[in-house]
Amino acid sequence: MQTILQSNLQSKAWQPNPGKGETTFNGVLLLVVWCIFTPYFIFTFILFIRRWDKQPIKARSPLLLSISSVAGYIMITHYCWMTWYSEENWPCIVSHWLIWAVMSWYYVPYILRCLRLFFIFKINFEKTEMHKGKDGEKKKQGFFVRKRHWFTDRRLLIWLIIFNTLVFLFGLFRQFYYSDNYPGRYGCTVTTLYLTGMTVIFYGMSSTSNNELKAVSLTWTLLIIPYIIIQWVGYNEDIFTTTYFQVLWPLVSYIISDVYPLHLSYISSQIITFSTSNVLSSLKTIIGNERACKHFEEFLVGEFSVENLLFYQDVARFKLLTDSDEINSQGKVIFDKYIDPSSVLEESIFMLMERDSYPRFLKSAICTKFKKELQNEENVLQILKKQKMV
Amino acid sequence: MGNKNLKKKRKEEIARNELVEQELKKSDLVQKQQVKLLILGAGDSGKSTLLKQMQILYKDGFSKEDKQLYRNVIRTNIITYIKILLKGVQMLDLKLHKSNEKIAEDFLNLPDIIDSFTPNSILASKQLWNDPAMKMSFEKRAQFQLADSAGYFLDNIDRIASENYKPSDQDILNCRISTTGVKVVEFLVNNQPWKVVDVGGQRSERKKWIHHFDDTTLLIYVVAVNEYDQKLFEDNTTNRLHESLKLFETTANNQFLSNKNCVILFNKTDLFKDKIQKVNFNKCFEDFKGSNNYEEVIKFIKTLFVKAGKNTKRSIFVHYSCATNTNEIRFVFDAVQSTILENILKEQGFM
Repeated sequence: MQTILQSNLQSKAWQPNPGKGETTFNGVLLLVVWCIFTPYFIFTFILFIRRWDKQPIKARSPLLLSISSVAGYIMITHYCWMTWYSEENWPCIVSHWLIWAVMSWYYVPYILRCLRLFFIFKINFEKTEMHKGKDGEKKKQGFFVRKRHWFTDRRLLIWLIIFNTLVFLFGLFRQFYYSDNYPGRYGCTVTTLYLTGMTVIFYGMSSTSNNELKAVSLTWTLLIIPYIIIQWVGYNEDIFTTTYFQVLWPLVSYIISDVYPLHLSYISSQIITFSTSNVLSSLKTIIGNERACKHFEEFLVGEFSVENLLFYQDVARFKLLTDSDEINSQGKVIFDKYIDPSSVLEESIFMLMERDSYPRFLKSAICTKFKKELQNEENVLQILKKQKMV
Repeated sequence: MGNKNLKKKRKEEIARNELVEQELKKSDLVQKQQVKLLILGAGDSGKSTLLKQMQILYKDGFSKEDKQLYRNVIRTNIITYIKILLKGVQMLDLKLHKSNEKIAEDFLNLPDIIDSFTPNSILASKQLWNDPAMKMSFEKRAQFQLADSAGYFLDNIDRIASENYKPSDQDILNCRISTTGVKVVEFLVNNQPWKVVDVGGQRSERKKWIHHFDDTTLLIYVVAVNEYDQKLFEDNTTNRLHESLKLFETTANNQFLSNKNCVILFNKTDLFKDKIQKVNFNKCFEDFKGSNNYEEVIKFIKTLFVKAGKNTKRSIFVHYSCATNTNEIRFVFDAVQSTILENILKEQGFM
């Protein structure tokens, strides 16, 4: 979609920097943005590669993610530099081909990832229904296994290449055989395509509890609407359009689509989600796992013995303190909070919970529900493994 | 003539029908009405043991996972018991056999976890348990805090240490795990749904009891009668039986419970019988003037408790038991059930 914009450079329809070889305030600003963004990009990319196999399943498609993040970086770099240089200094044909080649590589993996998330959610959902419907029988052969066979990483890549080649050919065609003065038309065609896909996914997602998916689709939809409007209304030398859409949009979507999964890979609860037996095997692992601990707490509240857990956690946190002032104040807080004539040791509280509350928790309805949830996710993982999607 | 006979017959039929219907209604009521039993008592009196007995009597006993858990707890407890007894030896200024002194020193450094239960520590435990000073310390255990079942487990140490040891029902009944919070377990006792509420008995746990006071059918108050010479775990100064009596007085006369029927279960009578021969009861209860034998003392305790909970709105039933004995407890629950049935029928106006 950017090709048309660039082709308009020749027809003077788009002139971000008036004057020859002069830098504008806007250009400097973008250069600063770029200078900050580059180390940030390198840093996150290295982190991402290092945590390649730590990606939580729902956000995980490292291949697509890395393609789109590199492409996104090239795009942002290009826009920043282009604005900084004036039009004459920046070879327009480079701009053309760069954007042409890179743009779809940035956005399309993104959409594919959303689709993928959508189907993962879909199996999740269907599994739950199946558990409810049939009398305890687990069916591993869901509709997903039979019908969505193409939905693997490798196949997604093939789809990506096919789609991008088509876009590229269309661009070439337009470049050489078709020129009019409606620069927005082509951009709108592609954007409408994106928008339609995103909206469908967004509506499909509205019932999901997957926050990542919600965030991704929402940002996408919200950012793309003003873009499409401006494309239709007319694209000119307005600084707002260049700065905002050429840089801000990729930047925001970069952070959400690439940094969010990275962030998730550091949350322990998201990583060990997929082993029922590990998480529930002892009280220590339950307390160590954010998600499991939440369920345990809920159970304890129902049994009126949550104060044990809170006390244990407070003391555990207290043990890590090093600052003497803080130790004093926290010590007082703990003493005031759990004041009790019989001084109970942390160890004995843990033992109390381990022997009395923990076995009961394992049998409780809350734990059964949680186990089912984990089992469900484990099934999904197995299907994905079978499909070589992980 | 024939007409008259017919009329008579019909009348009889109607009467019989009514009777059958009433019977049906009765049994229906009994089955539909959920019964809520509240088991209360001071710490370590045997409330959870009652629940375990119900698990054996009205459900299918203990699962494999339960047994695994109890096995670990029992084994860890053995380490704990020996350590407590060793500290008791120090406290009472007793002398261990010379060869045992070094062992005892090492033993006190063991942490109270299942990993401490190694062949070495088993051997040490056995040797220490056979030491006369330890036996002396065990005799005087009332002066420090040692669980009542310690003797039972220490005598069975060989069986517990064996590789494929699976705790028997008796072991599980004897195994003490202090309860925290409130647990609610549902049973089906002779087709009647029972909701049994078991609570933690230690002081800090008691403020939680109030959450379950309403719509109680029957209150079961458990008293460990053998505790008359022991001090509270919580503060080491208050006499346990005094505490239990005081606790009963306040809970039984609570506004939510004061009109509920009440069963007082005098528990641990077996240990009581042993103790009464060694420790004089009026040392701990100066009001007691009778002779120091089982019947008189238990009668005295009974009057104390019944007096504390007596009012015009309720009846108090008294049972004596040893909670680890399944037969005795079955008898108690049978009695409890007939009480409950009477109660329901009375409420519905059938009696």
